[in-house]
Amino acid sequence: MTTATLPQSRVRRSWWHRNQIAVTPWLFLAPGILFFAVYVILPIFQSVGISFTQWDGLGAPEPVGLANYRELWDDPAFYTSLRNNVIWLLLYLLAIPAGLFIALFLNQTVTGIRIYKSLFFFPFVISQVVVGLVFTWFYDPAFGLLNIMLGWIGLGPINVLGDPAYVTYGIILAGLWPQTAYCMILYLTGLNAVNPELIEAGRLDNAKGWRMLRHVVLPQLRPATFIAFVVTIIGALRSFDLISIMTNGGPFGESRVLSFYMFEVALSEYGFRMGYGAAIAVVLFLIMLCFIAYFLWSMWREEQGR
Amino acid sequence: MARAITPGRKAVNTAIGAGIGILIFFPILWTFLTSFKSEATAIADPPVWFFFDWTFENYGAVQERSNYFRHFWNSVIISVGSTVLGLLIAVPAAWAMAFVPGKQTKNVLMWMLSTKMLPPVGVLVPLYLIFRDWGLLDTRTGLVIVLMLINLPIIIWMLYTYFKEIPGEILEAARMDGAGLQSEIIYVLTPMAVPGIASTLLLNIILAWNEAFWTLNLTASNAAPLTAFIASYSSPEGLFYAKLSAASTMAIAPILIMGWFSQKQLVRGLTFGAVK
Repeated sequence: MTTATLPQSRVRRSWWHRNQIAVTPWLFLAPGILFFAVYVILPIFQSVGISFTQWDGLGAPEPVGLANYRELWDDPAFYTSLRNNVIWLLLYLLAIPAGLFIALFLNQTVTGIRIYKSLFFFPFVISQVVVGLVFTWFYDPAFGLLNIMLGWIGLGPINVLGDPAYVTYGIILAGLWPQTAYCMILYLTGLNAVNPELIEAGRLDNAKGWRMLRHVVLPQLRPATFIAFVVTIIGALRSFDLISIMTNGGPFGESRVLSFYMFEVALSEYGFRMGYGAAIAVVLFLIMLCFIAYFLWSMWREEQGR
Repeated sequence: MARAITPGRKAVNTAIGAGIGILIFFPILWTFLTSFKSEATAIADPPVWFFFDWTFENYGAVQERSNYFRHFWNSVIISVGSTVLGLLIAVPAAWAMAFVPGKQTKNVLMWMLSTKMLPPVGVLVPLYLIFRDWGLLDTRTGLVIVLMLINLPIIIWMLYTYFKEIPGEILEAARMDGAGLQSEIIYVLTPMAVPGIASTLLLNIILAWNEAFWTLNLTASNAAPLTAFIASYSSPEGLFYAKLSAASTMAIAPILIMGWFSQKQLVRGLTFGAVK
Protein backbone atom coordinates (compact mmCIF):
# COMPACT_ATOMS: atom_id res chain seq x y z
CA MET A 1 0.00 0.00 0.00
CA THR A 2 1.04 3.52 -0.68
CA THR A 3 0.02 4.58 2.78
CA ALA A 4 3.19 3.17 4.32
CA THR A 5 5.29 5.75 2.53
CA LEU A 6 3.15 8.70 3.48
CA PRO A 7 5.08 11.46 5.20
CA GLN A 8 3.76 11.89 8.72
CA SER A 9 2.19 15.31 9.04
CA ARG A 10 2.71 17.09 12.32
CA VAL A 11 -0.37 17.54 14.41
CA ARG A 12 -1.03 21.15 15.13
CA ARG A 13 -4.19 22.19 16.88
CA SER A 14 -4.78 25.33 14.90
CA TRP A 15 -8.19 26.41 13.64
CA TRP A 16 -7.08 25.73 10.12
CA HIS A 17 -6.01 22.22 10.94
CA ARG A 18 -9.21 21.37 12.72
CA ASN A 19 -11.40 22.75 10.01
CA GLN A 20 -9.46 22.25 6.83
CA ILE A 21 -11.51 19.26 5.73
CA ALA A 22 -14.67 21.32 6.01
CA VAL A 23 -13.33 24.57 4.61
CA THR A 24 -11.16 23.35 1.76
CA PRO A 25 -14.03 22.31 -0.52
CA TRP A 26 -15.34 25.85 -0.45
CA LEU A 27 -11.92 27.32 -1.10
CA PHE A 28 -11.53 24.90 -3.97
CA LEU A 29 -14.90 25.77 -5.45
CA ALA A 30 -14.45 29.50 -5.14
CA PRO A 31 -12.37 30.22 -8.27
CA GLY A 32 -14.66 28.13 -10.44
CA ILE A 33 -17.80 29.77 -9.17
CA LEU A 34 -16.23 33.21 -9.34
CA PHE A 35 -15.33 32.77 -12.99
CA PHE A 36 -18.82 31.57 -13.76
CA ALA A 37 -20.28 34.59 -12.12
CA VAL A 38 -18.08 36.89 -14.17
CA TYR A 39 -18.71 35.06 -17.42
CA VAL A 40 -22.39 34.23 -17.07
CA ILE A 41 -24.25 36.22 -14.46
CA LEU A 42 -22.62 39.58 -15.04
CA PRO A 43 -23.09 39.66 -18.83
CA ILE A 44 -26.73 38.64 -18.48
CA PHE A 45 -27.47 41.55 -16.18
CA GLN A 46 -25.43 43.84 -18.37
CA SER A 47 -27.41 42.71 -21.42
CA VAL A 48 -30.70 43.37 -19.65
CA GLY A 49 -29.48 46.86 -18.75
CA ILE A 50 -28.28 47.67 -22.26
CA SER A 51 -31.50 46.38 -23.80
CA PHE A 52 -33.42 49.36 -22.41
CA THR A 53 -31.12 51.83 -24.12
CA GLN A 54 -30.06 53.00 -27.51
CA TRP A 55 -26.30 52.73 -27.75
CA ASP A 56 -23.64 52.52 -30.44
CA GLY A 57 -21.06 51.12 -28.02
CA LEU A 58 -19.01 54.30 -27.95
CA GLY A 59 -20.93 57.28 -26.60
CA ALA A 60 -23.27 57.41 -23.64
CA PRO A 61 -26.21 54.96 -23.74
CA GLU A 62 -29.50 56.75 -24.11
CA PRO A 63 -32.40 55.21 -22.18
CA VAL A 64 -35.37 54.41 -24.39
CA GLY A 65 -37.48 52.21 -22.16
CA LEU A 66 -39.18 49.34 -23.92
CA ALA A 67 -38.74 50.73 -27.46
CA ASN A 68 -36.29 47.97 -28.46
CA TYR A 69 -38.69 45.26 -27.39
CA ARG A 70 -41.57 46.93 -29.18
CA GLU A 71 -39.53 47.07 -32.37
CA LEU A 72 -38.59 43.42 -31.96
CA TRP A 73 -42.26 42.46 -31.67
CA ASP A 74 -42.93 43.80 -35.17
CA ASP A 75 -39.66 42.67 -36.75
CA PRO A 76 -40.20 39.92 -39.39
CA ALA A 77 -36.47 39.09 -39.33
CA PHE A 78 -36.84 38.20 -35.68
CA TYR A 79 -39.53 35.62 -36.45
CA THR A 80 -37.57 34.14 -39.34
CA SER A 81 -34.60 33.70 -37.03
CA LEU A 82 -36.73 32.23 -34.28
CA ARG A 83 -38.28 29.75 -36.73
CA ASN A 84 -34.83 28.69 -37.89
CA ASN A 85 -33.73 28.18 -34.30
CA VAL A 86 -36.58 25.74 -33.80
CA ILE A 87 -35.79 23.92 -37.06
CA TRP A 88 -32.15 23.61 -36.01
CA LEU A 89 -33.01 22.17 -32.66
CA LEU A 90 -35.55 19.66 -33.98
CA LEU A 91 -33.47 18.41 -36.90
CA TYR A 92 -30.27 18.32 -34.91
CA LEU A 93 -31.84 15.92 -32.47
CA LEU A 94 -32.13 13.46 -35.37
CA ALA A 95 -28.41 12.85 -34.90
CA ILE A 96 -29.25 10.83 -31.79
CA PRO A 97 -31.50 8.14 -33.35
CA ALA A 98 -29.34 8.13 -36.49
CA GLY A 99 -26.22 7.54 -34.40
CA LEU A 100 -28.00 4.91 -32.34
CA PHE A 101 -29.12 2.91 -35.35
CA ILE A 102 -25.78 3.00 -37.11
CA ALA A 103 -24.15 1.93 -33.86
CA LEU A 104 -26.64 -0.91 -33.36
CA PHE A 105 -25.98 -2.05 -36.88
CA LEU A 106 -22.21 -1.93 -36.59
CA ASN A 107 -22.38 -3.63 -33.24
CA GLN A 108 -23.64 -6.77 -34.94
CA THR A 109 -20.63 -8.78 -35.95
CA VAL A 110 -19.06 -6.50 -38.50
CA THR A 111 -15.45 -7.20 -39.31
CA GLY A 112 -12.94 -4.48 -38.49
CA ILE A 113 -15.08 -2.48 -36.10
CA ARG A 114 -12.06 -0.64 -34.73
CA ILE A 115 -11.23 0.91 -38.08
CA TYR A 116 -14.77 2.23 -38.41
CA LYS A 117 -14.61 3.71 -34.99
CA SER A 118 -11.47 5.60 -36.00
CA LEU A 119 -13.02 6.82 -39.23
CA PHE A 120 -16.17 8.03 -37.53
CA PHE A 121 -14.14 9.72 -34.95
CA PHE A 122 -12.45 12.10 -37.38
CA PRO A 123 -15.40 14.32 -38.33
CA PHE A 124 -15.88 15.23 -34.71
CA VAL A 125 -12.32 16.42 -34.10
CA ILE A 126 -12.19 18.80 -37.06
CA SER A 127 -13.19 22.40 -36.80
CA GLN A 128 -16.69 23.60 -37.69
CA VAL A 129 -15.03 26.14 -39.95
CA VAL A 130 -13.56 23.37 -42.08
CA VAL A 131 -16.87 21.47 -42.03
CA GLY A 132 -18.61 24.60 -43.27
CA LEU A 133 -16.11 25.23 -46.04
CA VAL A 134 -16.13 21.64 -47.26
CA PHE A 135 -19.92 21.58 -47.41
CA THR A 136 -20.08 24.97 -49.13
CA TRP A 137 -17.91 23.47 -51.78
CA PHE A 138 -20.02 20.31 -51.90
CA TYR A 139 -23.13 22.45 -52.52
CA ASP A 140 -21.49 24.74 -55.11
CA PRO A 141 -24.01 25.00 -57.98
CA ALA A 142 -21.34 24.87 -60.68
CA PHE A 143 -18.53 22.67 -59.35
CA GLY A 144 -19.91 20.99 -56.25
CA LEU A 145 -20.14 17.23 -56.02
CA LEU A 146 -23.81 17.40 -55.11
CA ASN A 147 -24.80 18.93 -58.40
CA ILE A 148 -22.44 16.73 -60.37
CA MET A 149 -24.21 13.75 -58.82
CA LEU A 150 -27.64 15.27 -59.42
CA GLY A 151 -26.55 15.73 -63.02
CA TRP A 152 -25.92 11.99 -63.34
CA ILE A 153 -29.53 11.24 -62.59
CA GLY A 154 -30.70 14.06 -64.79
CA LEU A 155 -31.69 16.65 -62.21
CA GLY A 156 -30.96 20.30 -62.74
CA PRO A 157 -28.49 22.18 -60.57
CA ILE A 158 -29.79 23.25 -57.18
CA ASN A 159 -28.13 26.18 -55.50
CA VAL A 160 -28.70 24.90 -52.00
CA LEU A 161 -27.09 27.79 -50.18
CA GLY A 162 -28.58 30.41 -52.48
CA ASP A 163 -32.17 29.25 -52.22
CA PRO A 164 -34.18 30.51 -49.23
CA ALA A 165 -36.19 27.27 -49.22
CA TYR A 166 -33.19 24.96 -48.83
CA VAL A 167 -30.51 27.02 -47.17
CA THR A 168 -31.22 26.23 -43.51
CA TYR A 169 -31.58 22.52 -44.21
CA GLY A 170 -28.34 22.55 -46.18
CA ILE A 171 -26.44 24.06 -43.27
CA ILE A 172 -28.06 21.71 -40.76
CA LEU A 173 -27.00 18.73 -42.85
CA ALA A 174 -23.41 19.96 -42.66
CA GLY A 175 -23.71 20.15 -38.89
CA LEU A 176 -25.35 16.74 -38.64
CA TRP A 177 -22.34 15.11 -40.24
CA PRO A 178 -19.98 15.40 -37.25
CA GLN A 179 -22.85 15.25 -34.77
CA THR A 180 -24.13 11.90 -36.01
CA ALA A 181 -20.62 10.50 -35.99
CA TYR A 182 -20.26 11.64 -32.42
CA CYS A 183 -23.53 10.08 -31.25
CA MET A 184 -22.50 6.88 -32.93
CA ILE A 185 -19.20 6.69 -31.11
CA LEU A 186 -21.06 7.38 -27.91
CA TYR A 187 -23.50 4.52 -28.50
CA LEU A 188 -20.83 2.13 -29.76
CA THR A 189 -18.96 2.71 -26.52
CA GLY A 190 -22.16 2.34 -24.56
CA LEU A 191 -23.11 -0.89 -26.32
CA ASN A 192 -19.85 -2.45 -25.17
CA ALA A 193 -21.16 -2.28 -21.65
CA VAL A 194 -24.58 -3.75 -22.36
CA ASN A 195 -25.00 -6.79 -20.19
CA PRO A 196 -25.22 -9.93 -22.39
CA GLU A 197 -27.06 -11.80 -19.65
CA LEU A 198 -29.92 -9.33 -19.78
CA ILE A 199 -30.08 -9.71 -23.55
CA GLU A 200 -30.20 -13.46 -23.11
CA ALA A 201 -32.92 -13.15 -20.50
CA GLY A 202 -34.85 -10.89 -22.85
CA ARG A 203 -34.54 -13.44 -25.59
CA LEU A 204 -35.86 -16.19 -23.33
CA ASP A 205 -38.83 -13.96 -22.65
CA ASN A 206 -39.35 -13.78 -26.38
CA ALA A 207 -38.33 -10.16 -26.80
CA LYS A 208 -37.23 -9.35 -30.31
CA GLY A 209 -36.28 -6.42 -32.46
CA TRP A 210 -38.00 -3.26 -31.37
CA ARG A 211 -39.21 -4.59 -28.03
CA MET A 212 -35.76 -5.86 -27.15
CA LEU A 213 -34.33 -2.46 -28.04
CA ARG A 214 -36.96 -0.53 -26.16
CA HIS A 215 -37.09 -2.53 -22.94
CA VAL A 216 -33.70 -4.19 -22.62
CA VAL A 217 -31.04 -2.29 -24.55
CA LEU A 218 -32.12 1.35 -24.32
CA PRO A 219 -32.46 1.46 -20.52
CA GLN A 220 -28.86 0.31 -20.28
CA LEU A 221 -27.79 3.01 -22.70
CA ARG A 222 -29.32 5.77 -20.64
CA PRO A 223 -26.01 7.42 -19.63
CA ALA A 224 -25.01 7.57 -23.29
CA THR A 225 -28.38 9.05 -24.22
CA PHE A 226 -28.07 11.71 -21.57
CA ILE A 227 -24.66 12.83 -22.86
CA ALA A 228 -25.90 12.63 -26.45
CA PHE A 229 -28.79 14.96 -25.63
CA VAL A 230 -26.65 17.46 -23.79
CA VAL A 231 -23.97 17.61 -26.46
CA THR A 232 -26.44 17.68 -29.36
CA ILE A 233 -28.40 20.55 -27.89
CA ILE A 234 -25.21 22.45 -27.21
CA GLY A 235 -24.28 21.73 -30.83
CA ALA A 236 -27.61 22.97 -32.18
CA LEU A 237 -27.14 26.23 -30.37
CA ARG A 238 -23.67 26.65 -31.75
CA SER A 239 -25.12 26.95 -35.24
CA PHE A 240 -23.51 30.37 -35.44
CA ASP A 241 -20.14 29.14 -36.69
CA LEU A 242 -21.55 27.18 -39.60
CA ILE A 243 -23.95 29.92 -40.63
CA SER A 244 -21.33 32.63 -40.62
CA ILE A 245 -18.93 30.48 -42.66
CA MET A 246 -21.43 29.08 -45.13
CA THR A 247 -23.91 31.85 -45.89
CA ASN A 248 -23.33 34.76 -43.54
CA GLY A 249 -27.04 34.68 -42.81
CA GLY A 250 -28.11 34.96 -46.44
CA PRO A 251 -29.80 34.76 -48.83
CA PHE A 252 -32.00 37.66 -47.72
CA GLY A 253 -31.40 36.75 -44.08
CA GLU A 254 -33.21 33.45 -44.56
CA SER A 255 -30.58 31.32 -42.83
CA ARG A 256 -30.22 33.53 -39.77
CA VAL A 257 -30.84 32.20 -36.31
CA LEU A 258 -31.42 34.49 -33.33
CA SER A 259 -27.81 34.52 -32.24
CA PHE A 260 -26.67 35.37 -35.72
CA TYR A 261 -29.26 38.10 -36.10
CA MET A 262 -28.16 39.57 -32.83
CA PHE A 263 -24.57 39.57 -33.99
CA GLU A 264 -25.53 41.32 -37.22
CA VAL A 265 -27.46 44.01 -35.42
CA ALA A 266 -24.98 44.68 -32.67
CA LEU A 267 -21.50 44.01 -33.96
CA SER A 268 -21.27 43.70 -37.69
CA GLU A 269 -20.95 46.28 -40.42
CA TYR A 270 -24.74 46.54 -40.56
CA GLY A 271 -24.62 48.81 -37.58
CA PHE A 272 -23.70 48.95 -33.95
CA ARG A 273 -27.12 48.89 -32.36
CA MET A 274 -26.05 47.45 -29.03
CA GLY A 275 -29.41 48.14 -27.37
CA TYR A 276 -31.44 46.29 -29.99
CA GLY A 277 -28.91 43.46 -30.03
CA ALA A 278 -29.09 43.17 -26.26
CA ALA A 279 -32.88 42.99 -26.47
CA ILE A 280 -32.58 40.02 -28.85
CA ALA A 281 -30.08 38.44 -26.48
CA VAL A 282 -32.45 38.85 -23.54
CA VAL A 283 -35.30 37.20 -25.44
CA LEU A 284 -32.94 34.42 -26.43
CA PHE A 285 -31.85 33.97 -22.82
CA LEU A 286 -35.44 33.77 -21.67
CA ILE A 287 -36.36 31.14 -24.24
CA MET A 288 -33.28 29.14 -23.40
CA LEU A 289 -33.88 29.48 -19.71
CA CYS A 290 -37.32 27.85 -19.97
CA PHE A 291 -35.97 25.19 -22.21
CA ILE A 292 -32.87 24.40 -20.17
CA ALA A 293 -34.82 24.42 -16.95
CA TYR A 294 -37.36 21.98 -18.31
CA PHE A 295 -34.78 19.79 -19.94
CA LEU A 296 -32.45 19.57 -16.98
CA TRP A 297 -35.34 19.09 -14.61
CA SER A 298 -36.77 16.16 -16.52
CA MET A 299 -33.37 14.54 -17.03
CA TRP A 300 -32.73 15.04 -13.39
CA ARG A 301 -35.97 13.38 -12.37
CA GLU A 302 -35.10 10.41 -14.49
CA GLU A 303 -31.64 10.08 -12.97
CA GLN A 304 -33.15 10.23 -9.49
CA GLY A 305 -35.87 7.74 -10.28
CA ARG A 306 -33.37 5.17 -11.41
CA MET B 1 -24.84 -9.42 -28.84
CA ALA B 2 -23.64 -12.91 -29.44
CA ARG B 3 -25.93 -14.45 -31.95
CA ALA B 4 -25.23 -17.03 -34.61
CA ILE B 5 -24.90 -15.16 -37.89
CA THR B 6 -24.40 -16.84 -41.21
CA PRO B 7 -21.19 -15.99 -43.06
CA GLY B 8 -23.22 -14.54 -45.90
CA ARG B 9 -25.08 -12.20 -43.59
CA LYS B 10 -21.81 -11.20 -42.00
CA ALA B 11 -20.32 -10.31 -45.38
CA VAL B 12 -23.35 -8.16 -46.19
CA ASN B 13 -23.13 -6.44 -42.81
CA THR B 14 -19.46 -5.77 -43.32
CA ALA B 15 -20.10 -4.33 -46.77
CA ILE B 16 -22.84 -2.00 -45.51
CA GLY B 17 -20.63 -1.04 -42.58
CA ALA B 18 -17.78 -0.20 -44.93
CA GLY B 19 -20.21 1.83 -47.03
CA ILE B 20 -21.29 3.90 -44.04
CA GLY B 21 -17.69 4.29 -42.94
CA ILE B 22 -16.55 5.55 -46.32
CA LEU B 23 -19.55 7.86 -46.59
CA ILE B 24 -18.76 9.46 -43.26
CA PHE B 25 -15.05 9.71 -43.91
CA PHE B 26 -15.49 10.80 -47.51
CA PRO B 27 -15.49 14.61 -47.07
CA ILE B 28 -12.15 14.47 -45.31
CA LEU B 29 -10.66 12.14 -47.90
CA TRP B 30 -11.96 14.27 -50.76
CA THR B 31 -10.50 17.43 -49.26
CA PHE B 32 -7.17 15.72 -48.80
CA LEU B 33 -7.07 14.45 -52.39
CA THR B 34 -8.16 17.75 -53.86
CA SER B 35 -5.39 19.60 -52.06
CA PHE B 36 -2.93 17.88 -54.41
CA LYS B 37 -4.80 18.71 -57.61
CA SER B 38 -4.40 21.67 -59.88
CA GLU B 39 -7.30 24.12 -59.81
CA ALA B 40 -8.55 22.85 -63.15
CA THR B 41 -8.52 19.21 -62.03
CA ALA B 42 -10.23 20.13 -58.78
CA ILE B 43 -13.40 21.21 -60.57
CA ALA B 44 -13.30 18.59 -63.31
CA ASP B 45 -16.59 16.93 -64.20
CA PRO B 46 -16.69 13.95 -63.89
CA PRO B 47 -14.57 14.14 -60.72
CA VAL B 48 -11.04 12.76 -60.85
CA TRP B 49 -10.17 10.37 -58.03
CA PHE B 50 -6.59 9.24 -57.68
CA PHE B 51 -5.06 9.46 -61.13
CA PHE B 52 -3.99 13.03 -61.69
CA ASP B 53 -0.71 14.91 -61.56
CA TRP B 54 -0.09 15.23 -57.85
CA THR B 55 1.24 18.66 -57.07
CA PHE B 56 2.32 20.55 -53.99
CA GLU B 57 1.82 23.97 -55.52
CA ASN B 58 -1.35 24.66 -53.50
CA TYR B 59 0.51 24.29 -50.23
CA GLY B 60 3.16 26.73 -51.45
CA ALA B 61 0.51 29.20 -52.52
CA VAL B 62 -1.29 29.00 -49.18
CA GLN B 63 1.91 29.49 -47.21
CA GLU B 64 2.77 32.49 -49.37
CA ARG B 65 -0.63 34.08 -48.84
CA SER B 66 -0.72 33.72 -45.10
CA ASN B 67 1.93 32.56 -42.69
CA TYR B 68 0.74 29.13 -41.62
CA PHE B 69 3.24 28.64 -38.84
CA ARG B 70 2.35 31.83 -37.06
CA HIS B 71 -1.30 30.78 -36.94
CA PHE B 72 -0.31 27.28 -35.96
CA TRP B 73 1.74 28.59 -33.08
CA ASN B 74 -1.12 30.82 -31.96
CA SER B 75 -3.42 27.80 -31.98
CA VAL B 76 -0.99 25.78 -29.88
CA ILE B 77 -0.53 28.50 -27.28
CA ILE B 78 -4.22 29.32 -27.06
CA SER B 79 -5.52 25.76 -26.85
CA VAL B 80 -2.86 24.42 -24.50
CA GLY B 81 -2.81 27.59 -22.41
CA SER B 82 -6.56 27.73 -21.92
CA THR B 83 -6.78 24.03 -21.11
CA VAL B 84 -4.01 24.10 -18.53
CA LEU B 85 -5.41 27.22 -16.92
CA GLY B 86 -8.85 25.62 -16.91
CA LEU B 87 -7.51 22.46 -15.27
CA LEU B 88 -5.84 24.50 -12.53
CA ILE B 89 -9.23 25.94 -11.62
CA ALA B 90 -11.30 22.86 -12.33
CA VAL B 91 -9.29 20.20 -10.47
CA PRO B 92 -9.92 21.73 -7.03
CA ALA B 93 -13.55 22.46 -7.86
CA ALA B 94 -14.21 18.94 -9.13
CA TRP B 95 -12.33 17.54 -6.15
CA ALA B 96 -14.60 19.43 -3.79
CA MET B 97 -17.74 18.31 -5.58
CA ALA B 98 -16.75 14.66 -5.90
CA PHE B 99 -15.37 14.03 -2.43
CA VAL B 100 -17.20 16.48 -0.24
CA PRO B 101 -20.62 16.56 -1.87
CA GLY B 102 -23.20 18.79 -0.28
CA LYS B 103 -26.89 19.16 -0.85
CA GLN B 104 -26.33 21.66 -3.61
CA THR B 105 -23.49 19.88 -5.41
CA LYS B 106 -25.67 18.38 -8.12
CA ASN B 107 -27.43 21.69 -8.65
CA VAL B 108 -24.16 23.57 -8.98
CA LEU B 109 -22.99 21.01 -11.53
CA MET B 110 -26.20 21.24 -13.51
CA TRP B 111 -26.07 24.99 -13.41
CA MET B 112 -22.52 25.02 -14.72
CA LEU B 113 -23.44 22.66 -17.53
CA SER B 114 -26.51 24.69 -18.42
CA THR B 115 -24.35 27.77 -19.00
CA LYS B 116 -22.78 25.84 -21.82
CA MET B 117 -26.16 25.82 -23.51
CA LEU B 118 -26.56 29.57 -23.48
CA PRO B 119 -25.65 31.00 -26.86
CA PRO B 120 -22.22 32.61 -26.66
CA VAL B 121 -23.46 35.56 -28.70
CA GLY B 122 -25.44 36.62 -25.67
CA VAL B 123 -22.26 37.41 -23.78
CA LEU B 124 -20.34 38.62 -26.80
CA VAL B 125 -21.26 42.28 -26.44
CA PRO B 126 -20.38 42.64 -22.75
CA LEU B 127 -17.21 40.60 -23.17
CA TYR B 128 -16.21 42.48 -26.28
CA LEU B 129 -16.55 45.74 -24.36
CA ILE B 130 -14.51 44.45 -21.42
CA PHE B 131 -11.83 43.26 -23.81
CA ARG B 132 -11.75 46.59 -25.59
CA ASP B 133 -11.41 48.50 -22.34
CA TRP B 134 -8.69 46.23 -21.01
CA GLY B 135 -6.77 46.14 -24.28
CA LEU B 136 -7.23 42.38 -24.65
CA LEU B 137 -8.67 42.41 -28.16
CA ASP B 138 -6.53 40.46 -30.61
CA THR B 139 -4.19 39.18 -27.92
CA ARG B 140 -3.39 35.59 -27.08
CA THR B 141 -3.82 36.30 -23.38
CA GLY B 142 -7.38 37.39 -24.02
CA LEU B 143 -8.20 34.29 -26.00
CA VAL B 144 -6.64 32.00 -23.42
CA ILE B 145 -8.92 33.53 -20.80
CA VAL B 146 -12.07 33.36 -22.91
CA LEU B 147 -11.54 29.80 -24.10
CA MET B 148 -10.73 28.75 -20.56
CA LEU B 149 -14.03 30.25 -19.45
CA ILE B 150 -16.16 28.64 -22.12
CA ASN B 151 -14.66 25.20 -21.65
CA LEU B 152 -14.58 25.32 -17.86
CA PRO B 153 -18.03 23.72 -17.44
CA ILE B 154 -16.98 20.80 -19.62
CA ILE B 155 -13.68 20.40 -17.80
CA ILE B 156 -15.29 20.46 -14.36
CA TRP B 157 -18.05 18.10 -15.46
CA MET B 158 -15.61 15.59 -16.90
CA LEU B 159 -13.22 15.70 -13.98
CA TYR B 160 -16.14 15.29 -11.61
CA THR B 161 -17.22 12.13 -13.42
CA TYR B 162 -13.71 10.71 -13.22
CA PHE B 163 -13.12 11.69 -9.61
CA LYS B 164 -16.37 10.10 -8.56
CA GLU B 165 -15.07 6.75 -9.71
CA ILE B 166 -12.27 6.93 -7.16
CA PRO B 167 -13.58 5.17 -4.08
CA GLY B 168 -13.84 7.48 -1.10
CA GLU B 169 -12.70 4.69 1.23
CA ILE B 170 -9.17 4.97 -0.07
CA LEU B 171 -9.08 8.59 0.96
CA GLU B 172 -10.57 7.66 4.32
CA ALA B 173 -7.85 5.08 4.78
CA ALA B 174 -5.16 7.60 3.95
CA ARG B 175 -6.68 10.03 6.41
CA MET B 176 -6.74 7.31 9.09
CA ASP B 177 -3.07 6.74 8.49
CA GLY B 178 -2.48 10.36 9.34
CA ALA B 179 -2.20 11.83 5.88
CA GLY B 180 -2.94 15.53 5.85
CA LEU B 181 -4.99 17.07 3.13
CA GLN B 182 -1.93 17.98 1.15
CA SER B 183 -0.33 14.56 1.13
CA GLU B 184 -3.71 12.98 0.54
CA ILE B 185 -4.07 14.96 -2.65
CA ILE B 186 -0.48 14.57 -3.81
CA TYR B 187 0.20 10.94 -2.94
CA VAL B 188 -3.18 9.25 -3.13
CA LEU B 189 -5.55 11.18 -5.30
CA THR B 190 -3.37 12.51 -8.07
CA PRO B 191 -1.89 9.18 -9.19
CA MET B 192 -5.37 7.70 -9.43
CA ALA B 193 -6.78 10.68 -11.26
CA VAL B 194 -4.07 10.97 -13.90
CA PRO B 195 -5.85 9.00 -16.64
CA GLY B 196 -9.01 11.05 -16.20
CA ILE B 197 -7.10 14.30 -16.20
CA ALA B 198 -5.23 13.22 -19.33
CA SER B 199 -8.46 12.50 -21.19
CA THR B 200 -9.89 15.81 -20.10
CA LEU B 201 -6.74 17.63 -21.17
CA LEU B 202 -6.74 16.06 -24.63
CA LEU B 203 -10.41 16.63 -25.33
CA ASN B 204 -10.27 20.22 -24.23
CA ILE B 205 -7.21 20.99 -26.29
CA ILE B 206 -9.20 19.79 -29.28
CA LEU B 207 -12.29 21.78 -28.31
CA ALA B 208 -10.20 24.90 -27.85
CA TRP B 209 -8.30 24.25 -31.05
CA ASN B 210 -11.55 24.12 -33.00
CA GLU B 211 -13.28 26.98 -31.27
CA ALA B 212 -14.29 29.36 -34.00
CA PHE B 213 -16.78 31.81 -32.60
CA TRP B 214 -14.56 33.60 -30.13
CA THR B 215 -11.37 33.35 -32.10
CA LEU B 216 -13.04 34.87 -35.15
CA ASN B 217 -14.71 37.67 -33.25
CA LEU B 218 -11.99 38.68 -30.83
CA THR B 219 -8.96 38.56 -33.09
CA ALA B 220 -7.88 40.44 -36.16
CA SER B 221 -4.41 39.32 -37.14
CA ASN B 222 -1.90 39.19 -34.29
CA ALA B 223 -3.46 36.45 -32.22
CA ALA B 224 -5.44 34.76 -35.01
CA PRO B 225 -5.23 30.96 -34.73
CA LEU B 226 -5.78 28.38 -37.47
CA THR B 227 -9.57 28.74 -37.40
CA ALA B 228 -9.17 32.34 -38.51
CA PHE B 229 -6.57 31.30 -41.06
CA ILE B 230 -8.98 28.85 -42.64
CA ALA B 231 -11.98 31.16 -42.37
CA SER B 232 -10.13 33.73 -44.44
CA TYR B 233 -10.55 31.35 -47.35
CA SER B 234 -14.33 31.36 -47.12
CA SER B 235 -15.58 34.01 -49.52
CA PRO B 236 -12.97 35.89 -51.50
CA GLU B 237 -11.19 32.74 -52.61
CA GLY B 238 -14.42 30.87 -53.02
CA LEU B 239 -13.63 29.32 -56.34
CA PHE B 240 -10.08 28.18 -55.63
CA TYR B 241 -11.07 24.81 -54.29
CA ALA B 242 -7.65 23.20 -54.52
CA LYS B 243 -6.09 25.96 -52.42
CA LEU B 244 -9.03 25.88 -50.06
CA SER B 245 -8.47 22.14 -49.66
CA ALA B 246 -4.77 22.62 -49.05
CA ALA B 247 -5.49 25.23 -46.37
CA SER B 248 -8.13 22.98 -44.79
CA THR B 249 -5.78 20.02 -44.77
CA MET B 250 -3.06 22.10 -43.14
CA ALA B 251 -5.50 23.37 -40.54
CA ILE B 252 -6.90 20.01 -39.52
CA ALA B 253 -3.80 17.85 -39.95
CA PRO B 254 -2.26 18.56 -36.52
CA ILE B 255 -5.47 17.73 -34.71
CA LEU B 256 -6.16 14.62 -36.79
CA ILE B 257 -2.67 13.30 -36.11
CA MET B 258 -2.94 14.03 -32.43
CA GLY B 259 -6.41 12.48 -32.39
CA TRP B 260 -5.23 9.35 -34.13
CA PHE B 261 -2.56 8.65 -31.55
CA SER B 262 -4.66 9.40 -28.51
CA GLN B 263 -7.88 7.84 -29.70
CA LYS B 264 -8.48 5.72 -26.67
CA GLN B 265 -8.17 8.58 -24.20
CA LEU B 266 -10.18 10.79 -26.51
CA VAL B 267 -13.09 8.42 -26.82
CA ARG B 268 -13.10 8.24 -23.06
CA GLY B 269 -13.13 12.01 -23.02
CA LEU B 270 -15.77 12.35 -25.74
CA THR B 271 -18.11 10.17 -23.76
CA PHE B 272 -17.41 12.27 -20.66
CA GLY B 273 -16.31 9.14 -18.84
CA ALA B 274 -19.98 8.51 -18.18
CA VAL B 275 -20.22 5.77 -20.75
CA LYS B 276 -17.97 2.79 -20.36
